[in-house]
Amino acid sequence: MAIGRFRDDPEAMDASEREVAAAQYPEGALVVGMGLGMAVPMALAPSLVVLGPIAGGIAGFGAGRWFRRRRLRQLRADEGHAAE
Amino acid sequence: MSDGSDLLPERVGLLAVLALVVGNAISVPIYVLSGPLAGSAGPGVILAAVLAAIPAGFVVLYNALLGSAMPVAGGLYVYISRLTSPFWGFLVPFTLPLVVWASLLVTATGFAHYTRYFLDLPATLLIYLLLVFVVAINVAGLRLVAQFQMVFVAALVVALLTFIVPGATAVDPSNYTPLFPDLGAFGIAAIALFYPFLGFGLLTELGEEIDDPGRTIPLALFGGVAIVTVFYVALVGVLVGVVPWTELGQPADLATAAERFLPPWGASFVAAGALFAVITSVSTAILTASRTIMRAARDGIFPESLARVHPRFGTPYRALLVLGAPPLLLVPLADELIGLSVFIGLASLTAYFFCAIGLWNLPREFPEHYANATFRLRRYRGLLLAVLAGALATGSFWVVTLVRRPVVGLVLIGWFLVGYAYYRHRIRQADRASMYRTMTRLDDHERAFAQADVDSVTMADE
Repeated sequence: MAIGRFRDDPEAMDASEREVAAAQYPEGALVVGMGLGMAVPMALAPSLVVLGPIAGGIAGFGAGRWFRRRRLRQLRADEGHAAE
Repeated sequence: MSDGSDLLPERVGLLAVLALVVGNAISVPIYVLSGPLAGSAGPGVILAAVLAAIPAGFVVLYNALLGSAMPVAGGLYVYISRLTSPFWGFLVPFTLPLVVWASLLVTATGFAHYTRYFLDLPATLLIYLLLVFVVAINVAGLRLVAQFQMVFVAALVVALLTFIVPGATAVDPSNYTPLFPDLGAFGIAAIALFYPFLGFGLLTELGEEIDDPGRTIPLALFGGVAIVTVFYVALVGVLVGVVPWTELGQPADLATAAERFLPPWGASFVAAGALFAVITSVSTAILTASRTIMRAARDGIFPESLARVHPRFGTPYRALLVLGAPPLLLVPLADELIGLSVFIGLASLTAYFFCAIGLWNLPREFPEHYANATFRLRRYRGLLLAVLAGALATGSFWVVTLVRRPVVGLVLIGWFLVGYAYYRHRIRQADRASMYRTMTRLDDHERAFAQADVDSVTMADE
């Protein structure tokens, strides 16, 4: 899943990791960030129409990765509670 | 996963593949886009064609390597989902219909303009007739399309030579100045002219249907790009050399320009070549895109009914209808030739950027397939350079588009957002983990391709 290196090995993942990986949070958040980074400058500051999508995409991708880690922790915690 | 029962039954050889690819790549830009692009960018459109050939060359490299290493139906979708990430791969079949619809509209508009050179019929009627014809012959089967294609490509090449060779003697060098009357329009022209090279990328979508794909795909790609580049540069060079660029701007400008140095029958023949060219390009675009959608449906990320093959014709008829029918409703939007072409070029190169990342990952993820490629590059030299060049070209396309036509970029990103919502919807309907596994693995018969080659090498060694 990591852009430019190599994606995570699906065979080496456990069920929770695969479920979180399937949601593709960083990729989706990157698209949301790029979209906002494009739409907002177009409406408010056209001079930022090139930088906006780049900044938005990077910020979105970072936020997506953070959310993916959080979601995985949640799932693992739920599994732990269920096991108890 | 497929058990092979819904694989496509017909297979085509090098000549037919070359005709399919050259026919798709050479026709639309030459006849439909040259006039409008020259009318806005001026004589610089010649250099724009050369500039567009540079990212196209990298695209050919990606396709030659991936196509020979992993010949599969739905090539780009499979490469990106398996080698980069499932969502980026999913965007290929999700965005492809828009690209095909835009392509059909551009081409059908050109068809109407050139047909009106001979017949005084309403342009809208001609557009509808072409769109219906294209869907019908594609549903009827690949071999039928390929046979049409070879005849039309042969006629097209003769028509182009009829324009280029006599036209070269009628060029007025003063028409080449000023070379860049509008730099922004020049940049847009380079992006729009990337669209013709899409034909090379679409070749790999036909992987399962090509005889000896490891040899045929690289030969067809490199042969095709050389033919197309030479023809295209020569043709726009004659066009802007014969007619001052300020007088250009219409889709049927080639026929008008031909009237300046050819007798009436010659100009009519050039215009007739346009009709063949238009038919060949729409045939290939819809044909190859349908295979991508079919493959995504096989994986379950699209509705499975789209993977169904027609019992009599052996074609993915439902996918073909998804691609061919909507443009009939969009005909009123067909006038924006340059905007639609920029959309096609931008969406395509963005997909190839992710494809380049997939190529970088190929030796690590599927080493046995990479070993099968007809030629290989070192990962930290050739492959890295190919990826970086692809990223640079894609970034440049985006910057120029955002500066000159930001709405095109916004539409594309907006569609990606819709795509993410639909992707999440589809995986919620299925077992997420199972879907993720499917979208990161090859089908059994695709894995067997690499194994079969390894086995044959072993037997030869013994």
